[in-house]
Amino acid sequence: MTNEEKLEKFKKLQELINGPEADEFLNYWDGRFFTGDMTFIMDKVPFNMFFYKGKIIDVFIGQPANGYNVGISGDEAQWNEFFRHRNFQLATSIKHCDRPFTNLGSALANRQNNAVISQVMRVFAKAYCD
Amino acid sequence: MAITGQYINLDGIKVYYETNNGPKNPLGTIVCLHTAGRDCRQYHGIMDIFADKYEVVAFDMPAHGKSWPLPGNKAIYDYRVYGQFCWRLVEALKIENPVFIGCSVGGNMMYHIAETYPIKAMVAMQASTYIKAMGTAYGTTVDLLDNPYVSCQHSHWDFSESLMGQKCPPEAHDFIMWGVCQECGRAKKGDLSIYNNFDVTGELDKITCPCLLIRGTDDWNVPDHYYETAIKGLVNAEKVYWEKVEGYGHFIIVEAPEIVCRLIDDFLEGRMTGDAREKVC
Repeated sequence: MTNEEKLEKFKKLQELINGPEADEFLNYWDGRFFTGDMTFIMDKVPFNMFFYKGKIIDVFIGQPANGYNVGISGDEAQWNEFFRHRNFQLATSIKHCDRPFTNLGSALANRQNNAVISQVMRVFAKAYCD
Repeated sequence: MAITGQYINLDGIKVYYETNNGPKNPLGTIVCLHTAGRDCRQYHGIMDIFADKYEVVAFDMPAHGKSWPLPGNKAIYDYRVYGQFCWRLVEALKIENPVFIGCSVGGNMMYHIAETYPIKAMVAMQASTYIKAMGTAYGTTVDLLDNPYVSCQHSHWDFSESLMGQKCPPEAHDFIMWGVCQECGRAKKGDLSIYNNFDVTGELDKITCPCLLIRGTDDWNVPDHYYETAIKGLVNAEKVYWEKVEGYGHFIIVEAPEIVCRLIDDFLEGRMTGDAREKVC
């Protein structure tokens, strides 16, 4: 898949998060409190989403201007493994995962937004695979 | 529901515990240890089911539920101290023939308690004899649970969600997640510090009592190899049984109390056959 095709998957994620997934994301996973950048790096290519109060208002390829806020970095094999089990906690577990994703941004920001990131990852798996 | 709660002053700590007021049974009195950050309400289902057959006692760890913290508003941070506390409680309540059961960090504690104290039997659920050293990254996560800039509850939400089994009933799911809502960061940090520094594998040969190990197989955080390590080390245990429960997860005491009770009853009544060591070792 080319980077442009992957970007289209992120735009599909944007449609889901802002549309049919919005209620669950905002209210069950506390997405309504999230404003800022979230970046997923796939094979060294950063795909950035900018959220305002849980709504994705911009998606682009590139680093956020102010540096990484929160997010995940992994190679193709790591992403494919995540798409298979879709368990964010397992994918980031240094205890149970041989090659866990790398967090982007501070440990504090990632811990604060753990649930939000996990749900965006799951919805992204839907957008990417289903 | 025949459950009643009361306090006992244990070494200066007001400890809350509940009992189902079940009959004294020569097979044992069941003493229950809850999972990290939670409280003894996790055992209400089991207490209800066993009300006519076994006396069941469940307590809140210091700094959990309705129990007071240690002096200085602290939780327990060391599994040996937790073991001492559990045994002091058994002595204070004059419990005879204690059958200890525990889940998650409480399940891990079963191994230490059985190695150290003269219990009648143990039931370890979602448990391990050791937790792989996770270094500073995990230490950072544990610390962050008690950081003023982190909501322990919200930041740990997905972790508990991920641990439940696909067959977990909706009402059990809701109660488990309500448990997340009520967690105290300082208490959770204490429990995960116990969890993180745990390794009693080298002393498993001290365990002589019958052992029942239960695994809800949807729990990705406690895989089979933890059980296999335990079973290989339980060389002197009277009996070792290992039961896998498909479709349930880490909070199996809440997710499937009927199944857990059936297994415990079969275990205590001597209806189980075979020995897990024959298959694993």
